[in-house]
Amino acid sequence: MLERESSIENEFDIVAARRGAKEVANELGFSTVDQVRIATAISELARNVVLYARMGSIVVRPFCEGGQQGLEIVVADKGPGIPNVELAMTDGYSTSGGLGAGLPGARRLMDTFRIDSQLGQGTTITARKWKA
Amino acid sequence: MHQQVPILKIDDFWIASVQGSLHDQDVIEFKQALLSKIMQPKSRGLIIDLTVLDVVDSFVTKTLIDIRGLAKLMGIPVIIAGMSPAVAITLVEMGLSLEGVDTALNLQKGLDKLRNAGKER
Amino acid sequence: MEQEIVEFWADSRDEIIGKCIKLSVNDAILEPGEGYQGNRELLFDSLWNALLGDMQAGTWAKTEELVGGLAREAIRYGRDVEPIQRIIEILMESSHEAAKAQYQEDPGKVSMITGHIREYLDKAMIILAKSTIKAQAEVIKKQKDYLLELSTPVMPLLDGILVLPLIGTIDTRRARQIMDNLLSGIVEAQADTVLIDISGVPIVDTQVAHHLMKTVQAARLLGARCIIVGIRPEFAQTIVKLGIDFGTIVTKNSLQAGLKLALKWHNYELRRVGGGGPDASTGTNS
Repeated sequence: MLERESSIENEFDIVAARRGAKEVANELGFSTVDQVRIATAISELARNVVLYARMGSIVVRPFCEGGQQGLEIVVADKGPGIPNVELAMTDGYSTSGGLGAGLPGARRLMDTFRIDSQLGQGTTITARKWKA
Repeated sequence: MHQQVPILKIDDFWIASVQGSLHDQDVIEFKQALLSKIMQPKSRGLIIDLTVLDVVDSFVTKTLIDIRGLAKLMGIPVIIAGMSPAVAITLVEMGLSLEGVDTALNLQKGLDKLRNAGKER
Repeated sequence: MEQEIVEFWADSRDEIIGKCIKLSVNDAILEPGEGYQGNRELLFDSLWNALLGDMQAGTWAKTEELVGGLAREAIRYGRDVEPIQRIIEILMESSHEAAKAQYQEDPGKVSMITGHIREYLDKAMIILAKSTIKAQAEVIKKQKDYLLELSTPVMPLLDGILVLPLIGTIDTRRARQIMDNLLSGIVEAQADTVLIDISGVPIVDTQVAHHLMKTVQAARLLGARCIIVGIRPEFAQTIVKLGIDFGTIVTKNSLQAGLKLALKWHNYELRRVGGGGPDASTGTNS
């Protein structure tokens, strides 16, 4: 199976996670541009885990739906949760002094993007990219 | 494992070629190293070569914008050279178009641009 | 019951195929159908055989493989699938006749057998229709990809200057293709300047304007400057009305004007050597 799970605890894991995702995307036959899109999205999501939740996990796996192949990313943490998801998805909004492009950027790089967040419980983000 | 980004000097221009993928800490150290170089007297420009960098996320982008902003304050032009099509597409889709940052297709063209800018001044 | 039909089908092979060939000789649909004359007997036989196998096993695998394969082949080579349909029909007619001949005294049995066989052959028809639609969809997709490639040429004009003439409607899929092609074209030619001619794009709406801006931004990140030419008055109005910020994008009303600007950027000068038009220099037609 091409599924990969990695735990995210520090900035070194960010690089490892995006490298892993790029490898899976490459093996699945995604184009170079799509591989970079996926790796960049992972980088953004993993950094959010380190910044806001301290630790979490990333699962990257292939999926098939309606005869179409794709890649699914699930990023989960048990951090404080996102108080206002809509605000967090707004371009330029950041509580960490960043560009505020992480979440909205990652959403635009993927085809589907879902945030499940509960205050004090944690956040799970599920994102998918179809193979063109 | 930290990666060093070599910073070279040609004439009075600084050239930094970023290799492979960088950890956040490397990126921060890279920024500090660059700033200390261009603060030296007689510095006339800086080229950051991204030819072999495979992923540029919002953190790296912010660092590039910061470097450019600080260099501008010191009157030093900065050129980003050699960005790959895949990285460019990804950045634009994320809404990070690096407005105002000067770019060049490769190191040589970047150097030509800096030299020409110097002549005009 | 089922066993009886399988037995009838197996025992009447020569009779059924024989009738099929007789029926197909002067058939209006099969006669002109290229590629079916020579191996007509083989076709009837394979179909008969596939149905026999499936009747015995209670599956559709063999019929699916045969009929699906025939449909795909026909579509791939641009042939009509009607002859395949006709072959199934003739097989139906022939087996009906064979049943009638064999059980002259028992019309009930004839209709029972014919009914069952019709069920099988109807299923074969459905397989044919489904496979045809699927094969056509594949062909259309391939042609679409091919057209996409064709429709976004990136042309090197002069050292370091590219021209991208856009013709036809631009949807998201095509916009991506255009961006990919242009960026790799820029890297390949190490081009500093790109002229994007949009005079051939019939409708320029917000969506298209957005794609254009993204393309220009991505090209700039690589280190190439774009000039958009051929903007029609309607599009200019759209941009103003929608409040799209084209501020940083260089535009010119015609390809000629854009070319002049590009040449200036590259320190070229466009100048006529000697006087007069092309007629004067070649000395003809005067």
